[in-house]
Amino acid sequence: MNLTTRASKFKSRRSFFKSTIFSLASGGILVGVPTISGAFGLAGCKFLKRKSSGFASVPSHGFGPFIKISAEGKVSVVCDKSEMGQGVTSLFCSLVAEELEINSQLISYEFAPAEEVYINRRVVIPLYVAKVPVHAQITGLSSSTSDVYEKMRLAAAAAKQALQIAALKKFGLPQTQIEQTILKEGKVVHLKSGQAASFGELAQASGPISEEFFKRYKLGSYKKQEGNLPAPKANLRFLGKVPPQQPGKSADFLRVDAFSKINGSAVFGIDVLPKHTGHERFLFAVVVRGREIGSSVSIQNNSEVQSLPNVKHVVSILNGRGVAVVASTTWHAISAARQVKLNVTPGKNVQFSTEGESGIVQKYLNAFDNKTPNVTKIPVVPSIGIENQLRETIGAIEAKYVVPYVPHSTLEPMNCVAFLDGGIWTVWAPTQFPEAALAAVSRAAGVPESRCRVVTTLIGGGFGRRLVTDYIMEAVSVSKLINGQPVKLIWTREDDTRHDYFRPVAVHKMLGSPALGGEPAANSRGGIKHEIMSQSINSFVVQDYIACIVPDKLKNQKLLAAFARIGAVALNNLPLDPFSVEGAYETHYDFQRHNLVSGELTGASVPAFPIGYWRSVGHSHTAFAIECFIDEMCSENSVNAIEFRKNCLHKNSRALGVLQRVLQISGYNPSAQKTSQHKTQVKNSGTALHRAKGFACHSGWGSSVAAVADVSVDVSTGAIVVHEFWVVVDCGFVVQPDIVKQQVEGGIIFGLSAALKQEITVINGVVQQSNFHDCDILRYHESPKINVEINQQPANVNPTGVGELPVPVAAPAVANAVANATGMRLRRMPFTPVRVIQALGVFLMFIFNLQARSDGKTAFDYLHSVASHPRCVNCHGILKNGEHVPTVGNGPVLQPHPMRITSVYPNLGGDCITCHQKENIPLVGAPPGAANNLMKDFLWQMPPTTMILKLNIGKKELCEIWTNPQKNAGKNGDRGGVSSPEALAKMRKEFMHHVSDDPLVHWAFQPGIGRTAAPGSREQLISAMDSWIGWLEQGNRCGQLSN
Amino acid sequence: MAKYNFNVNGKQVSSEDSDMPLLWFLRDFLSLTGAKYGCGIARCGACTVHIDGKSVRSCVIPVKDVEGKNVTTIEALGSSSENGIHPVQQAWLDENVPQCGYCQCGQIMQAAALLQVKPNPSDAEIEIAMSGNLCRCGTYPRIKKAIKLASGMVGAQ
Repeated sequence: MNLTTRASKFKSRRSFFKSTIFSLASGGILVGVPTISGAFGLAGCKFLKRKSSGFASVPSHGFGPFIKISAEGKVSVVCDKSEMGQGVTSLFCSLVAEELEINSQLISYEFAPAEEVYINRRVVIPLYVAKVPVHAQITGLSSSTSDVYEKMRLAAAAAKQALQIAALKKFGLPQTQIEQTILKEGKVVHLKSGQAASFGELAQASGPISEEFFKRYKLGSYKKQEGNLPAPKANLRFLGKVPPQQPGKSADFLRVDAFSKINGSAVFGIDVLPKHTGHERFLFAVVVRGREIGSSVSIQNNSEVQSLPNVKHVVSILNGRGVAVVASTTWHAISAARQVKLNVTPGKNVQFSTEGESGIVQKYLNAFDNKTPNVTKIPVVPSIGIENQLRETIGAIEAKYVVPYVPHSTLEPMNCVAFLDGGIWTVWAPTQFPEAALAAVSRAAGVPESRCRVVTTLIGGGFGRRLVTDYIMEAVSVSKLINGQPVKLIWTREDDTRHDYFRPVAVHKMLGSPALGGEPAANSRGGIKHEIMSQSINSFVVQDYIACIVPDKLKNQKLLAAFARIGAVALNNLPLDPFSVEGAYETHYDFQRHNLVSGELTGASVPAFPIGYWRSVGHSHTAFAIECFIDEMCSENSVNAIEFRKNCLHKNSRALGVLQRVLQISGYNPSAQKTSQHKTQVKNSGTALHRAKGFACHSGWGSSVAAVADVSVDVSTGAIVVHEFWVVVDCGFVVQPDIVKQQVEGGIIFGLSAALKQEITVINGVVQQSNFHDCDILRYHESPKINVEINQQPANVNPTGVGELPVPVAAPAVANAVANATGMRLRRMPFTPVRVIQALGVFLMFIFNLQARSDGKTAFDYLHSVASHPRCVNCHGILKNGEHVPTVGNGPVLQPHPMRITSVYPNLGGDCITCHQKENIPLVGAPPGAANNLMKDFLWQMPPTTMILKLNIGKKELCEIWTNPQKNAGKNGDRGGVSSPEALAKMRKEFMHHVSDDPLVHWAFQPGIGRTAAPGSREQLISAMDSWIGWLEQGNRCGQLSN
Repeated sequence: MAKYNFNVNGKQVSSEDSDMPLLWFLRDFLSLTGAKYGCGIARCGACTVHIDGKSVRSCVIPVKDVEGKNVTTIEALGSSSENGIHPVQQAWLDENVPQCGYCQCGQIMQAAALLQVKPNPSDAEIEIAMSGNLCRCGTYPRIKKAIKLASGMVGAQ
């Protein structure tokens, strides 16, 4: 660690922070934390006092960069991490409140500006050869609590001492009496005399803090990056505790941000209003980018778009990166952006696809056989001769695992407010990386950082997406082109899905055996050769800034350095990106032999498709491969995979601890059954539904996690249901147990979205997904029950990371459970029903005939083509777990309605109208409208289950259903049949009514964008129905139809 | 130009932008930012408001279809409760539901509409009602607990 070098970069502007003691002119004091030089950094006031800086609103006296106390005695904590749901604001507040003996009513938070004193000193990347601290003002890598725990306790302890000294002065008592004072309910009280003074009055009067204080608290400890910490307080009130429920009011310190998030007052980036920034109004910008990622664009129809309602400006930004439409409302900007026609100059990605023979997945697979050109392979963990040894080991197996590109899908899309005010370029942005944001503003505005300012807002989901600052540069670029007017730039969900920085595709090849060179012994630790093909995220992000956004790289050393520090790849020319191998390189398993090889495409073959940091980054795929493979190779060798793991964790007591505890609470009892026998049993069982538990564990960010999933698989449909999860974590001392539980619950669900649903596919540079209809995340009814336990450590054990920790184990625990239930191995994420069926070795083929036919006997052929079309089949529905549910999609595979909708949809405070409006919405993925006002108060509805259709229904079968009164009955009774002239007359009336009058049938021929219309037309359908019933009336019957 | 009149949180408002989704009218014209933009196609539920007491995705209903109706947003959900906090909101605090919080106003509006007509919903009814509201942070287990906690407390006041 070399702070000296780093500090010099900040030059005069930041030398301000170096003074050891800084007294405010107003008499207030500043309390900081010690820096490495032994001084304590003091900062922030000039920023914090600036009008509309951050959310600072309480006029206050500074207690350093972290603590402010107002004249009313309100304590405000400056939070130097971004709050994106992980509860970091509550962390800052509870650490300070603990020392100052106050409750949550007296404390609030505000976000720090981009300043050196706020950098994160705990971000450590396990590099190829050494651990390198990153030192950036960054919220990521699950490092916040680790970084904050000691420094905020020290800052608060210093504030406490300052208040005590000021109180003694006010009481006319000597400083030696300091031990006789206590803090209570926002006051300093002298125990013997009973004199008391409030924080507010003392903050006005307090003087500088003595250096004695810091000496007493062993400042040098801050130098330590590892090891135990002093616990400055004996009886903790908040830390390490779940606050008890109090009758009639909320528990103290569950979360300090919760109230604002349940009443709509929380201000996320997208919620920043002119009143927050001191403006009268904003303009709203939406950027239109080329569909082929990385293409350069210009507008074709500028004057047409300029003339659309409320459009104020149309500007081209960032060297053709996009065309920004600026309007006076968000809606007008979105609407006008849809009208933009682009000239597109394709970039390198025009040849990039994920699928097919030349797709990236196949290229990676081929690379294992040296059939892909331009690949470098680095032996990250060398092990000479391991491959030969394994190849000679009986029972050694080989398996490949694939993970796709996945999006972050933060529910708050990218957005940023930018403006020039008083010569200062300012952004209000939901960012995880204020320091890079500051550099981005500077670059986009073309002014030095001293004339730029970043205000960090609440973040509606980060997950690593907001470490990249593309949207911030866009906002500044737009504002700059319209003379610095305040602009709120918003990405639509479609923009956000297509133009993400995705978790890269990774393909793993594993070769291994639970025992080397013989029968597995009780303490075997086996051998694994592990090869990974993936792509360096660090290199991409750095290159992206150079090539796509920043043409003049020489002037942007600061930004590059900020990113390079994350991995040191670009600066040190190290060929390896730690993010590609993390979780595998520093695996918690002590295998008898371990070989790890990292492969990448190089030179001109490096994909230009954007990749980035996605919650748990490399761990998200390395743990999947390792945890699945251990189960797989153990079951092939009839070895208990849990016992094998225990052997390999013999040096890691905390990882072993969570493993043992999760077995206890879940009751998971692994079998050592051989896979092939298991498969045969399942095949012969005659039942579709199979259920079992599965296990996975992992260590990273200094912490350990173990999980068990209870999963069932329907082998007839490929549907996976995750019933329950048990998770145990060990992340050192847990400051806020309930918030850690939130993180674990959410982390499992985040991991399950990727395990079961999310996948981005690319064809010729175009992302094929755009919104939640084709790239959904886990929904309420798909979410398992989750039981979380914490293996709590004492308060002097440094807290370690937890935000990303649970994510990597979700997918392997499910895959292992599926294997335990069926003997079937899922090696490619996501485990969609189609993939499950493929893994089972059964291929479903749906063939449906879309040819419209003419009249006569062949009229039925046409009716059949309509009735077997997805537009009809979807509403007629399927039976799922005994419930009649509609399906969605255009085929060949139809999915159950994404929400849990059934034919007996009760009134639950909403109904179909909650989402399905009167008209089709002209957006792909939007719910269809209710048949164009054909029926007042129309609700979507379903026929009885006897009338369920299929895409591959036979003609005779269809005819039999339609003419059978037992099967064609609706809620008003049967629809006649062919048994008598009366029955035929009834059938004619009912069937003609359905095709002529039912608004849903109308709708099938005008279903809106993104849905294929039923073949032919409504008129054709009416005519064909008439012809077919006429044919029946002539005495013809279903048996005469060809099948 | 036609003018559409309706009521938002007890106040009469009007708009001439017939096709503008209610969501953007609430956010850009009334500064009511509790209803969030998440998908624009009724797939995520972050924009959920009540129209005449029923949950509706405000990102897909155009202003013209709100004519004459009563809209309630999260900002006024608790206005009829004594302490200004709706029982569902209180349950959300007690179960410590929110993480990033972006979806929670929509979740709460959806749950409040459910409990208004089904004071004690079954697990299946909760699933049906809540399946249209996405949460990326994964707060579903706590949403379930909070709805259970609030059961029987809505409509009883």
